Amino acid sequence: MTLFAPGEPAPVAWLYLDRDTPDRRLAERLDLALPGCAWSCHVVATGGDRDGLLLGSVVRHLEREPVAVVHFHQVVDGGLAGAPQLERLLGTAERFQTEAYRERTGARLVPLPILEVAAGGDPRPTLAAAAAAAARLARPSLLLWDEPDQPTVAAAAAHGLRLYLGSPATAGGVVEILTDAHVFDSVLDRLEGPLPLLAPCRPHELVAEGRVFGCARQWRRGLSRAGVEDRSEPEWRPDERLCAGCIADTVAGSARSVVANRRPNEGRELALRTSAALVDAGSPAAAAAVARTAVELSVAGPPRADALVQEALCRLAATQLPAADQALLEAAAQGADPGLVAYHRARVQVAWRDDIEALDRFAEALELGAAVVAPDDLRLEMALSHIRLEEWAEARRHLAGIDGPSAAVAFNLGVCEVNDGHPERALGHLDRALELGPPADDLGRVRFFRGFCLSRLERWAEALADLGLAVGLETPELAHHNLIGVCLFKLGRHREAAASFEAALALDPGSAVDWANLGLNLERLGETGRATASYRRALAIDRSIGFARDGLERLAARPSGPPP
Amino acid sequence: MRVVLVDLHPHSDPVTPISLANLAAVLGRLGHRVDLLSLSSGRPFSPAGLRRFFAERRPRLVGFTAYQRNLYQIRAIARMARDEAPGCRVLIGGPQATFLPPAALAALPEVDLVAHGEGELVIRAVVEAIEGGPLTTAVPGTSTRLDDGVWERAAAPPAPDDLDAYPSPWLDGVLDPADWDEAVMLGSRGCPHHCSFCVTPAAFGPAIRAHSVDRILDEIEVVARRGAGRLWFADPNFSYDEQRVHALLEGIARRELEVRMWIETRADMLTPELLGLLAAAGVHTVALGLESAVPRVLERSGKAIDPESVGRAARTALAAGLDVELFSLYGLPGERLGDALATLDFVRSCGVAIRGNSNAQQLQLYFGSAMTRNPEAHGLRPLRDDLPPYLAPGDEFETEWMSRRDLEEVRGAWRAASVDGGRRIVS
Ligand code: B12
Ligand code: SF4
Ligand code: SF4
Repeated sequence: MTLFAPGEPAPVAWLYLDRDTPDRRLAERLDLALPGCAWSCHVVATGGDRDGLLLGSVVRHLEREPVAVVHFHQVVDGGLAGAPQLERLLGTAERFQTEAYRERTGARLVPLPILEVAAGGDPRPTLAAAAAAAARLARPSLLLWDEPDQPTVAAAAAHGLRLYLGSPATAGGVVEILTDAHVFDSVLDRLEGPLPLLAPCRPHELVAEGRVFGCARQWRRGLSRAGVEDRSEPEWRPDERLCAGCIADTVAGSARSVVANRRPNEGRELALRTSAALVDAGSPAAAAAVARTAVELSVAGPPRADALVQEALCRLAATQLPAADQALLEAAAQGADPGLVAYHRARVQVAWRDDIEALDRFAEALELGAAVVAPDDLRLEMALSHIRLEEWAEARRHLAGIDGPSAAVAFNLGVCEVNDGHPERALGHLDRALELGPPADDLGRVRFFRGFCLSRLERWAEALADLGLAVGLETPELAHHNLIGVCLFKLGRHREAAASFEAALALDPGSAVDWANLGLNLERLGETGRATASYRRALAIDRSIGFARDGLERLAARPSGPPP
Repeated sequence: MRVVLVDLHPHSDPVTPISLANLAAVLGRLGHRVDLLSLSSGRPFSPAGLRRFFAERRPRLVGFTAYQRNLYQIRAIARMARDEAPGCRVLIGGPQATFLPPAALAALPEVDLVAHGEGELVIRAVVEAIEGGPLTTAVPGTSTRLDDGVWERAAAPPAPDDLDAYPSPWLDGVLDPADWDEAVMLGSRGCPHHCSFCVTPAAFGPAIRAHSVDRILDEIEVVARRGAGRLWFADPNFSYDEQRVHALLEGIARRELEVRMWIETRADMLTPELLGLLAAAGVHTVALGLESAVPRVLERSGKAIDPESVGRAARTALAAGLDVELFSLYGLPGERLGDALATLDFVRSCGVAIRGNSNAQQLQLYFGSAMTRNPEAHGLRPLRDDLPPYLAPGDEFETEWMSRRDLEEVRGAWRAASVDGGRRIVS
């Protein structure tokens, strides 16, 4: 057996250190933590490290463990005030680079200064400082608190500088900006790889407010794992339940940064894929918010249309129906396939339970010919709408237009026929559906309707057999218990029938007819007291149930005494 | 005895440590307790975790496969091992060790033994010597730092002609195919050719020694049944014997092994019959050695290849639905800028995508090749005289025909043409 990493699971590879904790405490924590971090790791110091304490700790680590590589990301003032810190970082890194050159190996201290431009500050001198740092083998980036203007974006592009963008709304300050980028980069990396998009981000730990946090999201929620004085090794403790929401929020909020860093296409692709993953994970509302970001990152025309359709589908799944319809209208305006738009708008109407409107849209889709929806699927959808509207003949007409054998078509034909008063014909269709093998999920429905048809034909014992199967295949509802009760009654099995109606009433105590049915069976069993009570309940709910009234009268007329 | 063997890929995901696993299988049969460690950037480890590991295991011997690329990290880990398991010896083998110049030994204070001979024999001899007490004479097949600090070298014991004499790491359970998305297999050693940039003839001799086809099929069977079923052969010259390649492919089809394979073949072997066999055996990609599209350049490096026939073979394979990779080098003796760019054009004209192993690489001067032994005689001019003695010039040279700038230009042209940013898989 091969061992891949003594001490698996993956050690922390990123350590975030916030400026709100004194450097001395952070340096002590670093001294303890670095050896337990991944051999190639990142330290992100958001304070200025004015006295070089953090850098000193990193250097000690590299000297003690020459196998290590540390990427030191340090936020420094991008103006003159930060010059000494920047110089110290670059000078220290150069020492290691000289050795790396001699040994033909990777650099061991990779300097990644993050040059900060305060709100209202002039970014130009900082851009120049960044370019100079890049010439000294550093990989600088800029942290801006104002919206970057076009020349700044262009200059950053020319020097290959990454832009981190803050705003007055960034409650969590620099740490929030950088950890958002961390989560975003982690997910972006997975676009081409085996890891699921919604898995935890790159292993990291965070020290802020004098406390240690198992991940950035936990910090935002105030869930710390220890104090900064903690002497244990860094430990990444993702709470995987938080990840999907965290990644959704991050990607949904990424548009501004993605645009400033000139990666709209990758950002769009990531948003689309993340949105799809969120739908699969059962979070359609979050998926919709992420899809909206994909829309924002899409150029007009087909790309935007595709993103809008994706958004609409998420909103539909999240039953945000007006927003879904709106997105589809926008997609149409961007040139989306009109047939496809009509089809999905019809589905929105179905969700709205407006089958009349839905039918118009399905018809429109059929006429326009949606490239990705088969006409037969549209016909089936239309038939289903008619079935919900109890328009059996129209439903049958659409079903008849569908080519080729299909269990769904046969089943729905059965439904139409039985409801239209042709149980015999319906039975033929349902048998055909069984022959064609309906999907496992639908088998229970087919059995139920078969039982229903047989009951209409007064073939009670056979009906009971099918209904029994249906109950084993789908969660029993009122209709199951009711119909089973009726069959049992007809077969003279009153005790079981009574139990069935009781089961129906347990699901809906307001079902008058089931109270009446219960009464009838109890009456036959000679339980006159309970029978009388049941009839009364039935009539109290619905005075029009004739056989309950008759039953009551019968019982009242009866001489008292034990049953005959 | 407790032994730790370390494979180290500082710049990539882990790769099956097939050579070290061979050594582990030998030791396993002798009853030694071996840990095979595969360290890489793809599966990060921490320095503290590694130290704890050495402290817990307390190995008496730690062995590494040394490449020029990872020697620096190996030295650091060797020091860790010595700190945590006092008294343990450090042995390096592999391509960088085999031809390490004597002057380098003194510059590697953390190393006790350097293997020059066949690993399976050397490791056994080293373990026996350590168990036997103080090191007073050199261990066969190594340069040994004797206990008095003096380095001494001893000749290697003769290696067996039949490689089946060595136990198999796949069949002995040293390697578990379930650990690997892709398994690396080793079917033969040695090469009868004399390409002057290559270390193989010097390392393993001109005679090809091989495992039997049945043994290889048994190994493939294990990989197919327990692992992902993707594999490739690390043999320096996999296609030396046409009949053998056919027998192997037929065996895979006969045993109905579900595998996906990358293999290297010779251009003249790609007949319709072979194409059929490849498809039946699950080969998805064939790699062909091209090195250069210019016959004059090939000739000068001792490479007996006809570029036109390589081109034809590539097109045939592509037409048959296979992926094709062409290996090529630039910076070869006699090659001018125009020649190097012509090779890029040639690869493109064959319809081969410039990605993976089809990204060309600059010729590398590593210890053991004829060119490294005498670069000037080949018109090569190393650029640095400040390298530590354990490092060879690598790619830091110019040629009589191309300056550093020219070489950069070729690199840039390949990179620009590449669809994956220049990522090579097999070296
Ligand atoms: C296949 C291959 C690979 C495979 C490795 C598969 C494997 N485990 O063998 C992969 C893709 C991983 C690989 C990677 C690289 N490779 Co490579 N590779 C080869 C190739 C084509 C064949 C290797 C071979 O002969 N294997 C056969 C086995 C039997 O040989 P072996 O591995 O050397 O092991 C034997 C002995 O060396 C010894 N041994 C090995 N380890 C140890 C350890 C101990 C303790 C002992 C005692 C003995 C011992 O025992 C073994 C049996 O005798 C050769 C080229 C060639 N034509 O030879 C290049 C070659 C070995 N690779 C080379 C290079 C440069 C690289 C890379 C740096 C490429 C890159 N650009 O990234 C990486 C480095 C990987 C790392 N660890 O950092 C160079 C090595 C030069 C050098 N001195 O460093 C070679 C020689 C090619 C060349 N350019 O000239 N490579
Ligand atoms: S919740 Fe998951 S994705 Fe978000 S920061 Fe924590 S580990 Fe990373
Ligand atoms: S390059 Fe290939 S053919 Fe040439 S000597 Fe090396 S292994 Fe043999």
